[in-house]
Amino acid sequence: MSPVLEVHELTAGYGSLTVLREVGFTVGEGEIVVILGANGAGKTTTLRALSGLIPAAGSVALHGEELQGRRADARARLGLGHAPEGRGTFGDLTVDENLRMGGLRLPRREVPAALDHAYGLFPQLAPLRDRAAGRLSGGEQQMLTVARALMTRPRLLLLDEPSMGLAPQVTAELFAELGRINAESRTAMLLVEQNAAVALTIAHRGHVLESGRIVLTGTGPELAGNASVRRAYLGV
Amino acid sequence: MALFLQRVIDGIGNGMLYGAVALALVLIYRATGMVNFAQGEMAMFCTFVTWKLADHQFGIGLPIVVGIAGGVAFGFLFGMALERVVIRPFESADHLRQMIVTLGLFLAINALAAWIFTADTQRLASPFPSGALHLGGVSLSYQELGVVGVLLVMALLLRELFGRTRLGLAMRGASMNPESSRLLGVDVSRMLMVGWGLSAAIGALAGALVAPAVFVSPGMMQTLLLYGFAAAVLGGFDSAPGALVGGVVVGVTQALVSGYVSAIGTQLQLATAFALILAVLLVRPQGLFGRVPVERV
Repeated sequence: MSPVLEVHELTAGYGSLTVLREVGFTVGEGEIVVILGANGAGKTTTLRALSGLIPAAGSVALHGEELQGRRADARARLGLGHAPEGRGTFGDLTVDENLRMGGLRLPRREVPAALDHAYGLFPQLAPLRDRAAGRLSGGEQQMLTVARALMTRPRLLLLDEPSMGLAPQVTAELFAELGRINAESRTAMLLVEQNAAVALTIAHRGHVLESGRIVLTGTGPELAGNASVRRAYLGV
Repeated sequence: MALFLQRVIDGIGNGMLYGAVALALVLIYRATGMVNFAQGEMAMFCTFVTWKLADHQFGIGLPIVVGIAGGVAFGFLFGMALERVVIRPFESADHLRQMIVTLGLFLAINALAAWIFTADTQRLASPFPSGALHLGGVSLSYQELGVVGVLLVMALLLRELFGRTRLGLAMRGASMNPESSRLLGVDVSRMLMVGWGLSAAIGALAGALVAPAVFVSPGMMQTLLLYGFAAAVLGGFDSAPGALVGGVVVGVTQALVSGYVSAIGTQLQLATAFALILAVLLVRPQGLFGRVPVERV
């Protein structure tokens, strides 16, 4: 069986600045893969290149289907969900409308059930359904972004720094929820994070990115036990 | 009192037309952040098409209602084509270049209309019967009543479109956050194209409704566009209901000021619109219904 995502020699950047250099990795069915790295290592660039938000060289295949040459919206329609960094909610739309934006491609009759499912996954959002997304707290906006991406029923969910700006308690709750979603629906996830301590609690495998190159690869427990990862990302 | 009421009613009738032009401006501004100076000329061109479809002497001679429907449908396609061919290459350009592009469109469409239809003034029939209702010394012409009714129905249909349909939601999302919309599978370029089409269709309707009063000519919408700008600024450039309310306030203000301040009369009417724009920009730059974006961080 082919992996959900296969990436070969992905090179990307901004203008003349190359940030990502010939990166390759896979994400298997039902797997959570984490990419760890410091600020500027190329984590967000990796996800933006995979989603087609910036031009990139190399090969990106989703379930064997080549994505390069397709626009971001076409990649999303093929099943690539992306919860972007900095939340990216529609600030003037309500929580309910934000979720409906995620459900635009679903058959109409399936939208109510998909909304119920989203509120079931993140019950904190249910009483806020009529509130403008721009008025939610950081944690609530983060949950909304993930729930909205899940509304698209992605074959692979890209998550960009979901812990950014969140209190430790909220971060722990969000990652526990992501772990539950993965266990129940077998949704494959590619997660980029600086917060290695919490990311490695749910990751099956991971890679460490430094200056746009993968320098270390291993299972979640292997990375958690690695001395250089512990020193650089876990502060021990 | 009857004279005062008459002036208010006349102001509301004109104001709804200003509101329709303002609404067309607001739709494009909300979708693209662009102020479309060619809005009036687009409406004028579509009104010429309506005239060609409906006129018995120089055109096909279709019933006026069919002619207006044809003009509005043409407007929708015309707006989409302009977005695709002229505007899209400047989608990510700065505001100055975008403004110059719409000013260029203004001149080009005006010249094109004069070349195709000649600069002669033409008469377009009204879809409403002549005559008026007389209520207690106040006269309500069927033309005014019809214009207000049609534009109210249009406003309600737009509210339904944006509030209740998937297309409307996708258009709102695409204008608010194009990148997040793309990540959800929305074809943002197509949404912007539909936005331009919709805006041009509204302009076409406003042009056809005002034409029986001002006649059809290449310059017919230029004054109306200025009042439309005043209405959009007053209502808030990002507020669709504000555009209509702003139009009515501008129309009523214009009717009362020119009626009661003899020094202004009809010659200085346009100056009242300009004064209103200046006053609103000084006192409440976001307009009556415009929002100052507030976001928790």
